[in-house]
Amino acid sequence: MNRLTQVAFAVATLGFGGPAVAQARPKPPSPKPAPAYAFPKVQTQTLPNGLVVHVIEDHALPLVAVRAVIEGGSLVDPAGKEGLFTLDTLLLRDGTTRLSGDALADAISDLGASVAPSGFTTVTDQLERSLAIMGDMLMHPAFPAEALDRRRTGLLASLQRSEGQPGTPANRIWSAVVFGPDHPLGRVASPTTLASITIDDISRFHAEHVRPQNVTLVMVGDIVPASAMALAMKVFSGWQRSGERVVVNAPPAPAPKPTTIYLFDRPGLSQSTIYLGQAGPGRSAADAYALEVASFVFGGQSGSRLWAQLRDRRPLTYGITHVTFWRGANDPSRILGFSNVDAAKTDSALIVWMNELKELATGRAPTEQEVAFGRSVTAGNLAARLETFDSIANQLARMTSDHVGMSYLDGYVRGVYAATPAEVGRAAAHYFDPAHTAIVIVGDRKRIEAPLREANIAPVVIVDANGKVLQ
Amino acid sequence: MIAGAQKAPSVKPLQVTRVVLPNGLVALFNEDHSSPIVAVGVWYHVGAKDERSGETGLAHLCEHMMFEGSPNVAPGEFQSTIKVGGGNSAAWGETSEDRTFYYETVPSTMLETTLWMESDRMMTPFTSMDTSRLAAARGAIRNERLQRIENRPFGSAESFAAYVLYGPDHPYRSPLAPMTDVNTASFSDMRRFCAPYYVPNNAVVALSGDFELKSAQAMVEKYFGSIKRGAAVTHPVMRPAVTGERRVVLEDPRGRNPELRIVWPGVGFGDPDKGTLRALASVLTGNRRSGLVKALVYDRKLVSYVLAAHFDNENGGFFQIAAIPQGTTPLGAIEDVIDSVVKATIAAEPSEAQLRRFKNADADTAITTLQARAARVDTLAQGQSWAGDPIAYAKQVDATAKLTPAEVQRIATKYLTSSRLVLSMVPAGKLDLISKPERPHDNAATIMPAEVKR
Repeated sequence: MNRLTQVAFAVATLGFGGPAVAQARPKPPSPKPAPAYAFPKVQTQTLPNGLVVHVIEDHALPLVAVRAVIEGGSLVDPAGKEGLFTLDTLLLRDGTTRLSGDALADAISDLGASVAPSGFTTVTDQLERSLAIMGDMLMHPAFPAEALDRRRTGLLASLQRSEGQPGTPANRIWSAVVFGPDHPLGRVASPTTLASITIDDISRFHAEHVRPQNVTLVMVGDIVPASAMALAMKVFSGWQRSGERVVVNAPPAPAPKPTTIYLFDRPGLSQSTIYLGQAGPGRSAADAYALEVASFVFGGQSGSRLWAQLRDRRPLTYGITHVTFWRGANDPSRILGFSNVDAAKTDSALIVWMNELKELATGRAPTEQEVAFGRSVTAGNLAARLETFDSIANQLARMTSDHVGMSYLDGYVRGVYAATPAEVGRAAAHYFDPAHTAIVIVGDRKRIEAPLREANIAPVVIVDANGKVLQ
Repeated sequence: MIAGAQKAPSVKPLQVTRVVLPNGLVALFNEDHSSPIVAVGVWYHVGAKDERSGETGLAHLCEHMMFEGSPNVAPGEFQSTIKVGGGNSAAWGETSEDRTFYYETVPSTMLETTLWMESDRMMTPFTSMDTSRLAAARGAIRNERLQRIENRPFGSAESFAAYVLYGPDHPYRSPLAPMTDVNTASFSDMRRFCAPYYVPNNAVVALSGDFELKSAQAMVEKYFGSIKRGAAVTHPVMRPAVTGERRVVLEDPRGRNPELRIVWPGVGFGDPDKGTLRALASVLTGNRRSGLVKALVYDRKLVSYVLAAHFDNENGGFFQIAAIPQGTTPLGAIEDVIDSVVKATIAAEPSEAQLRRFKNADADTAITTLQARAARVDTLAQGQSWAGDPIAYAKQVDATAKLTPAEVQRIATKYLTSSRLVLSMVPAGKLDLISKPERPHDNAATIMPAEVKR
């Protein structure tokens, strides 16, 4: 049916006269292709103490976005002391050897921008003062003991609040099941681990790990690279390095388990929260770009297969995402889908979802048109997504922590466009494995357990809030 | 080492050209050639406050139906065309109490196609659709409501506060109202509600990014110019209805911890007192030395979280203090401390330094949040639609920069009165946890009308 008959059909169906009879308006000329995206030029310099500085110069706005990346982050937390890195960065805001907590808070408020140890975005003329404060927090923390109790209490309260959102236990249980207790990605901060952390732990951790050779500074915006380097030198050159730069990778994920439904009971929920998937490869895998495209064909929101099935054709959810969440070049990724579905239709939503997963793996390889869509929504819209100094600085920080190098995005664009439908199909079939999929559901057991068992999708086990199997 | 900043950074307003078409459509153009992209925003002045009894949720239904096809664009084709062309949007459409906003950021080569598609759905809105898509829209909205409100602890607190402060006639309802009216509205009911608002004289088109003014203006005139002007649109004006203190309990089986909120009526977008109310919020909880944070978090250790904020809608607002107790601290003890800090704030001017910090942050925020072109078209269209001035935001920052401590004290006295809502939010059945149970309370479950309740 062409558009004109469709209009006439619609008008006849609705029985509206008058303005409803629309003019057939000529389409404008097809747009010329958008110019190819190129990530802005990065200038890099390493200070004598090992601190690396990346700068992107852009004078479009009188702003500078700054980020500090500490190698490893929470991955360095010792087993049993999960939350150590988080508490360290929180306590950096509670005073330095030069400024009391109150004086530091006022100095930051005076600037107007919110300067954190991990970064800030400021008008250009406050850059130097903001960077000095950030440096002071990173280099000269006071770690007052009274602050630990307050920060710990605050962190516990926010963990508890976040626990009210079903996605929090679902995500934690999924990670515990997929990565296991011996893997840093399978462990998270809990009231027990937080309680075990002392002020000495924090100050020792900071003195050993948060050193200039493990820190990368990113500056994007209204600044000339030479001035940025000089400024970094002025603020950070007095910071003593200790040893060599470390590189922290996550170990490989354990062997995947056969597909199982892990049900965590939360009575009264009107929607069930589903987290579903398995561990995937690192960014450096040869077929990483093909997997990226396959992911968005499958679960990249509107236009993807899952969106069509679970939102457009059947009203089972408000939204669904199922893509690859990458970490470092050599770290395992997470091929993870999540959605909140109507509790009464938990079983039917999961049946549709798992059928689509099987189709992707075995039956219906991505078509040329789907692959074109997948390219457009990953590499094709980078200009629209990396629009602000903040987003570019965050991207630089991400490329730093993921160890992929500063020319990563150019390779990403080339790789995504070079991936053929056959390669995309192979990657989909290889990584989206319906036989080894961890399915975590947080929902009202009374309502959803029996239908889930009857649907016979996979064995159902009941787990506690940490993924431990209860029955 | 670090001297206090003395001077607020100045806010240079965005450069805007405004063109008014003969059919009443206002078009705003902000040229920026720094990246080959452009944000397109189309703002319709209609939201939940335009809904009368029996029409709740319909403004939001209009938004969903706008993606279900127009004379020359098939259902779903609007988004797929833009996505395949390299464009993107955080939300595509948003419905608030006062407005419905459609926006996308596209490669500048796609500007004409995007304007054509936007004009196509403004030309004869809600006509060229398959009526069965109404059921799909209802389904999506029901799932959206479940996710955003019903499955969230105390998800209805905001609508409920609006109901108490602005009264039952035209409360600032949630755009995500319970499904009753959305489920019973027929296709023609939906169209009868929506169509009068989807006219060029009730809309603003805003562009920000990489285009030449002349050619972009010609495109807007070409595609939007022939759309017929509609009847003039009017909107209800909201007036606070609360007199004296209302104490209410909101129970929720999903709530895990009690919370306390004290809410006063505030002011709307263009009110000259708005900046001062925001300054007042900053004086109360701007940093760890601010009155409420110092007293509740640092000195007394009663709460794990406290925040004062002013929220403005088009012509009404809310001044709210929200607190979450630490451990088992009773809500009543927190209320006492809040009252004593509020009393002290009314009794004395804030310091120059406190006020200066707020002014710096206000100016800084105005600059940093307008990096994204989509944020610019939203801000420009809002100023145009609600104040007749696209750069109203910059003038508000300038006015704020002139505030005096005496003015903040005057506003505290004027607004933080006994006419307020004290809302105790507790897990279902835990009525012993409410603040000051000895005083008379209403239970939200019994006084909330169906259109606010879930």
